[in-house]
Amino acid sequence: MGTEVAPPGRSIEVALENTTTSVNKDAESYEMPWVEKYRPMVLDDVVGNAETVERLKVIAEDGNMPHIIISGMPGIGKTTSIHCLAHALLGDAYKEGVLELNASDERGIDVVRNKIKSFAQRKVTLPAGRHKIIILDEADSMTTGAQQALRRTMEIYSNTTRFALACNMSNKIIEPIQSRCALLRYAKLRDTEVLKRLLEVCKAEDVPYSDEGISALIFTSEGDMRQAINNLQSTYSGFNFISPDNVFKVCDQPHPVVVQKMMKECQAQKVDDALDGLRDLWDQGYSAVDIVVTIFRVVKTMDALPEYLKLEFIREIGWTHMRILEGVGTLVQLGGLIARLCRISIDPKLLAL
Amino acid sequence: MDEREGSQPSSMWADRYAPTTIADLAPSKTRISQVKSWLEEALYGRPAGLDVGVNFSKQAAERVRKYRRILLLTGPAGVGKSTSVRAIAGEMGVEVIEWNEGFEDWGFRGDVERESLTSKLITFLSRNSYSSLPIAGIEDSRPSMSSQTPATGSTTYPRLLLITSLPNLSHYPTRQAFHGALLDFTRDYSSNSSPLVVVIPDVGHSGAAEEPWSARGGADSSSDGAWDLKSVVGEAVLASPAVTTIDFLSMAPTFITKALKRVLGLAIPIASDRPSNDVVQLIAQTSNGDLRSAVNSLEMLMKTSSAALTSAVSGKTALPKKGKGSRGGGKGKVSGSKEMQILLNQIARREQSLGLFHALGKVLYNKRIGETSEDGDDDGLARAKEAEYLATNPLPNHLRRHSRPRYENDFEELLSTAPVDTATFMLWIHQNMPQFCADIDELDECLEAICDADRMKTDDDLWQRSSQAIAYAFHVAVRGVVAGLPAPVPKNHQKMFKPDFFRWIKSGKLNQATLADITRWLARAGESAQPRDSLDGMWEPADNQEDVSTNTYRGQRSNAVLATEFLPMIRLLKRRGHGKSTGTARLVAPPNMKR
Repeated sequence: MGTEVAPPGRSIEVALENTTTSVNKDAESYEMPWVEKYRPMVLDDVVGNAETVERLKVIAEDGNMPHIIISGMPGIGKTTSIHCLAHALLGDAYKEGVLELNASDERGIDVVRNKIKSFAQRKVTLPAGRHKIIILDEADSMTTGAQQALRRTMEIYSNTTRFALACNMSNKIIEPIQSRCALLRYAKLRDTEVLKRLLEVCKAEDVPYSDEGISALIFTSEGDMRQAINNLQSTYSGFNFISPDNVFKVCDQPHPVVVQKMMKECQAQKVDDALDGLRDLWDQGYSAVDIVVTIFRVVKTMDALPEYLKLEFIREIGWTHMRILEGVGTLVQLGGLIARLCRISIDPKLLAL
Repeated sequence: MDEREGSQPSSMWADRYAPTTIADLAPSKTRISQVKSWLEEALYGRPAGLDVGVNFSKQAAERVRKYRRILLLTGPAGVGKSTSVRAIAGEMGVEVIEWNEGFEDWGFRGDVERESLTSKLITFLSRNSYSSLPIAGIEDSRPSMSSQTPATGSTTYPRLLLITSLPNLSHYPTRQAFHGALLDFTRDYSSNSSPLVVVIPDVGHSGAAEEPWSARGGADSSSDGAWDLKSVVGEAVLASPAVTTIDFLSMAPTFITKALKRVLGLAIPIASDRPSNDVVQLIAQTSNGDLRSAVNSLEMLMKTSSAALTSAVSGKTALPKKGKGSRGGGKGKVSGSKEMQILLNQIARREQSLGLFHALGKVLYNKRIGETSEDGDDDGLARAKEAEYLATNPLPNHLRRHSRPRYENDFEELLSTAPVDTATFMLWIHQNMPQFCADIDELDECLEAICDADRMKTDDDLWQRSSQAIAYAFHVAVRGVVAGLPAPVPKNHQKMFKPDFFRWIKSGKLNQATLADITRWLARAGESAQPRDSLDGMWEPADNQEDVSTNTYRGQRSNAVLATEFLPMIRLLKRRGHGKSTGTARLVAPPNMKR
């Protein structure tokens, strides 16, 4: 059951160009999420993880894709890279040559046995030396049983079909499958990488922005490109201008500047001032989780906080966050946090009875 | 329709260059010869070590063969279990009939009367266990390739059944049926039957996941799809004298190196195009004992970077350098060029030992801004700047003793580039941190942080799953350790060790299983009036498996009582000579216990 061999000579570059132009044309016609509209279509456009993407490019050129697992946090381009790779490899044959299943599709043992197998057995005309590709998105949500069933399938059909798995945590993939795959780890995107892409999108969509607005987007997205671009689009359609205030309104997060002021007051042991700030945030209707998450983010990046204090702060914030998630999301807990943060800087002797 | 032709240029190296002769097999020679002699005994009844020429009676052969019905091959993924069987069988001229989850009849007979996979497997076992051949003798000279494909026309080859893909064992009825089929297989014996080899990979906890440690090594492992041997094949089968288990170990780097070199020799005809020895050794060391993944890595490496590798000195990798490797803690014994290490870091899989050691080194050596580096670069400017920073952002007086230059690396970046998950990373830090501490207070501080981090990763699912919990735990643990450790750390030739945790989990599981066995044994022993007499018959194939849970040994005993009070007592009594001394002591333990 070999794959039919197509006449050789179609170069990847041609295939690549075709795909980019066609999709972008589609995008023009109606308003679609920018995440989709500006989803990279070629590996060259994938942002971040340069070394790993470089690797994928070589695979795309070579044509013989091994089974791969790409793991990493959400929104850093795992699925996008796999799609780009598949497009680069298969070109026009993408539709016939790729089976994609993600967590929303059923992926029990039956599907692995039937759908995946019948796809693997199907004859498809592909460019020479290319393989059908089965993309399993969010593979870590597959049950162990289904993964077990996959194991043998991967082996039997590896001559005609290759697997590309994307997952958040590679260790949720059972060992026998990891053993059959090349594992690529995607790191979180750097701020500069997110920045670059955001500016590109802004330029393409003619979005007016201020620099602070963009950095607010980066702050709120925490290295998640998808979120960054979604927030950009929401802010733009809501306010037509990217400024920090608009961004935080759209993301509905406490303004980090306010939170940072609070933390500085904690560091300076000004309990009352810090509590006032907290009360303001609370009265604006932010939930305890919102506030504590922002506090954590702010503290992590606060340069004026000496390292040791940072550790102690994070420790306390962690405890409070835990309590809040356990159900006590009250102002009292947050107030307690503020008080404890202030106490860290106070000489214990002064507090002794 | 055999898809494993193995010679197509488009297949992966791991398939294409799989060894087909015994001499080429990578696992240790003892394992290979164990498998081989088992096969010889199972097929020809010829005891191991007997010369081919020696005559021995047919009856004797039958008697041997009767007890060589099923061979269970266990071991981690990618150590060559299936490959070994295929190659050995091939060389012995045995026809291998492999069970393939029924895909061969797929869509064959239409839709109406499709058998369930389970019944197909059972039919497979019973149908194929008989072959019409008379055992002709040993034909070592038969070419190995021919046996892989079903022999056309002639059926005179001895046959071997091979199951590498197990049915869905988490489905209880399926599991029962599978166990039953195997058990029947051990019992039905005629001189024409073929033996069966079942390959059972360790699904394994890869030090697994961001999940509670208790669940990871939990007592109730069978619910999670992490199968121990007993739940895979069934207790009765395991206890049967006709079943043998051979456990493959994960491979030592030297073995992998050798195997990789063989593959390279086949894959790249021109010696000068091959990567240097260092590269091969690096791959072997990072592969974690998994040969298949080592071969995959090698293929990937060769494909993606042939230019960078063949001349290990060439600096013109297109890739930007990353991390600049500030003399990471884990300098391997193998010194590859930096580019190679970076390349390897990206492709080597799983634990990614190099990346891991690098990250560990970053934490444990906790290099500070402006600190004099090992090579003697004294960055006075950075130091001055840092002093200035410290002066403008002072710690409160009572915390002044914690004041020190800031950590050189970015914690966030460390978190996102750590090669293993946070829990595992914490284990590694925990294991290796003490040797970097100079006094007990430092140790105390580090441990405090790790404890806190551990508590932040509670077993509560809601919290546990959130990436925030992981972030907190990571920050607290790493920042805490960095703050606690002396800076600079004293250099005592520290070596990194693998956390003992994994070993304890393993032995804990083993003990749990043993305890369960003993509970059952006691239950049965308690049933018969004279426990002492029943001892001897105890380990016959357990036909009389009752529902254990209803029988208890003279009243209820919890596992804890059993483990802490009862068993030590039995042991003590035995040792006092109350009974057949050591011999009886061993009887308490089931035969499959590895002690």
